[in-house]
Amino acid sequence: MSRRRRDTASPLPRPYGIDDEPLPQTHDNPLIARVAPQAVEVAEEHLIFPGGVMLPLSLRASGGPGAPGSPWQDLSAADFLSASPSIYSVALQRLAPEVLRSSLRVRRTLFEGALLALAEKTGRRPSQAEQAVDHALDSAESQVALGKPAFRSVLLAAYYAARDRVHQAQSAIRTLEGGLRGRGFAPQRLYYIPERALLHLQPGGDLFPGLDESTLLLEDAARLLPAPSRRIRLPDAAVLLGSHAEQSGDIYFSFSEGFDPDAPRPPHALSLICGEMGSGKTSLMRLILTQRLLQGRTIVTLDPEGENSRLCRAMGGRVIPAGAPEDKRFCLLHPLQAGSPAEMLLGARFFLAALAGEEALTPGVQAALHAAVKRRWERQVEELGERDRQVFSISALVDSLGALGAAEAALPLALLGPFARGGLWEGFFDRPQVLLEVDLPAETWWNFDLSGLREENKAIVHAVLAWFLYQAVTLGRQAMDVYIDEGWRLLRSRAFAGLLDELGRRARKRGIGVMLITHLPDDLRGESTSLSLASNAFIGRMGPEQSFAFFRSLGVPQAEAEARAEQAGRLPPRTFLAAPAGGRGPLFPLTVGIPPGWLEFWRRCGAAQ
Amino acid sequence: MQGVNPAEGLPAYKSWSPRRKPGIKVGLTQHFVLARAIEICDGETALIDAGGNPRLMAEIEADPDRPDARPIEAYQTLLASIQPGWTLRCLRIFWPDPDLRHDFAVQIEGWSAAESGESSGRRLLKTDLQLYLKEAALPFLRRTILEFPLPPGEKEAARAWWESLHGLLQPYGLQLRSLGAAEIEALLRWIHNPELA
Repeated sequence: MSRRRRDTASPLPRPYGIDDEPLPQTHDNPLIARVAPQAVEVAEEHLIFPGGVMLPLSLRASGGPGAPGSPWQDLSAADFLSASPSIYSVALQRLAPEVLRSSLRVRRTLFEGALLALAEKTGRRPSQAEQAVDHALDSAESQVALGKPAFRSVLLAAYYAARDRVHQAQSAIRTLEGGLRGRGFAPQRLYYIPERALLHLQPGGDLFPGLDESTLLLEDAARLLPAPSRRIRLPDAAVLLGSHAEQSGDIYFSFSEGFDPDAPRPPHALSLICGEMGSGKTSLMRLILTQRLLQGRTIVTLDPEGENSRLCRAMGGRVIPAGAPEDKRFCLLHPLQAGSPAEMLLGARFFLAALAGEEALTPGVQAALHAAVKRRWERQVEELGERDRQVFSISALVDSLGALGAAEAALPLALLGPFARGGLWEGFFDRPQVLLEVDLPAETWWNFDLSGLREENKAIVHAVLAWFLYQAVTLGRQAMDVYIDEGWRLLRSRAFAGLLDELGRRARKRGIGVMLITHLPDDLRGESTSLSLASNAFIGRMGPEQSFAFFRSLGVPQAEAEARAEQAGRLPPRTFLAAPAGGRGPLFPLTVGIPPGWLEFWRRCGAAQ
Repeated sequence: MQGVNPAEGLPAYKSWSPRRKPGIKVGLTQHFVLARAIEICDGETALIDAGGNPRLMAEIEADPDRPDARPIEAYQTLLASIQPGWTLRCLRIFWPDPDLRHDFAVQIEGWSAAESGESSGRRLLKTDLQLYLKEAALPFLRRTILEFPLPPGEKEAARAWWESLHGLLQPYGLQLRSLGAAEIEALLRWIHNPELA
């Protein structure tokens, strides 16, 4: 690398006002008068415009081109991104090979001469580091001799902020300086010459304005050129999530189109929010579901802690308890509601499997169920006539099973008996009216408050939820969103693990959005279901090892997964790494933005701290 | 080239030392502008710099139909094709992007459920969101701009190289779009008058 001394005599335009010269009102060049009509204040290390403040930063580093451990080998344009708006410029002039070769040869000759002189006078042998430098100089000279391009370069970044938010740009620049120092660079603020940044950054500006320059080989120079971005359209039925933590742009999201309608469609309508406790998972979920509710969607939430119950009621929603309703007229669900005897048999089998496991469904039990359902269906059609959907009570099925008089009917009779009318648990399924209809009304929020779940009821309540969601997704006419908070608890339930796979495959076709919130993504990776391929994932603060394993499971390349896992371990609350389209899009950091009025509303409802 | 006016001259270069005393001084941005004019040079819009040399400008964008863009490889190919002595500058600039937010605000207007709720709660939530959007910091996108000063004495070769860039970058999922006069002027104006309020 060649480091030029700052040329203090380099010609620079002198701002008016510095020597108390009169300020002209307009310029005789119409272009200049049009593009620069305003004033500027030149401060010690920054420029102040009427619309904002600019803080420039350059950098230098020791070591020649291709030197071992040269910090340039590890620097890219992406390292200069921050939450503050910025302008980043890299100017490159290709050097003539003979010029650089001569320079490298001179440097190598001097270096080797110094080593030789040391060896002759003191007997000291070159260290490994010195040998490596000598080798690198030799290698660089050979590469240049073989036609490898090398460039004279100047790099400058300028960070901007509104005049009342200068601290944001200061913070961005300090963070960047710390990172650059850690990599072996010497960041250079433009003390007393901040106007050089403006002279350099403007189109038509001075490309080599007397700042520190470096000589870079092709690969190092190419990494410094910024990757282009793409204009993104607003997805259909979008919700606002917040802002891009590195670009200052708004981030919108839709279950059907993900973050970018022009990118490949998400494989499923399943989304995942994960992160440690306190990372802001539930806030992000509430932000999304509130907007979806305002859009007119039907919302279903599974709420293990009952944290959303007050909020749900305050927004006109209904809270469903994790047990038999207190109102004796209502039960939770009619599991044997069906449009055909086959569907009814499926419901009966599912119900029994949820109670006693798949192993209880022996061929004999299945035959008994088949006979009882068939008999019951025919009798009911005879009594009530054909209908779109028939509702069968558990008691009716129990009666039919008893009428069979078969030994194989004993097990289903014993299992179903307590849930039949007059049984101890009739409140779950065998009352005249039902809380959960397959066709939920539009624009309402249904919150399943599972905080009162008791160990003895757990299996049956999970079965109820799983069956209801399955029916609502496959048969219901109302498109809805399903939000499963603390999803790890339900994923450990046998009934749910299989259901989520089913939801994943059907949800997109039926316009249903499913969002799973968990702090244990390992539970997902263990599942061989479509959930392990969640379409869009939001990863909050999480241990690096856990997040690395999760990124890899999404298919994120190893190098990016390592870098992002390290980043995930340092994320502040309500900042997430978004992984679009099942890891097929690049990860990006998202700062969740919640309207203050909403936060206050949530607080009043006991749903936020 | 048309309309170069050398009489306009260069900026007021004087013996001004950068080691001047610290302290805020007020001036006009127009005295920092180094560009002289925007002109058409052989069918291509160019910015005329302080030395009277034309500079060609183009924006690099990711091809929307190619999610597999490989910018590093593209840039290596681009840089390897530059002739010795030529200079290229790449700018990444923040640019106001209110369109997306505007589209979202229009979508919000159509959120009927916010109006049909039994209480005024949903309507208030909707109003809060609209207010939040209005008061939130201006959203920006990043634009990547290439600036290429035509080297005196090699203008023909340099122009041929510049014109070849589109085909050179395309296989890597990048698109090059030359900037017109209005866009160059807007760029100049933005850099001299950033607006973040």
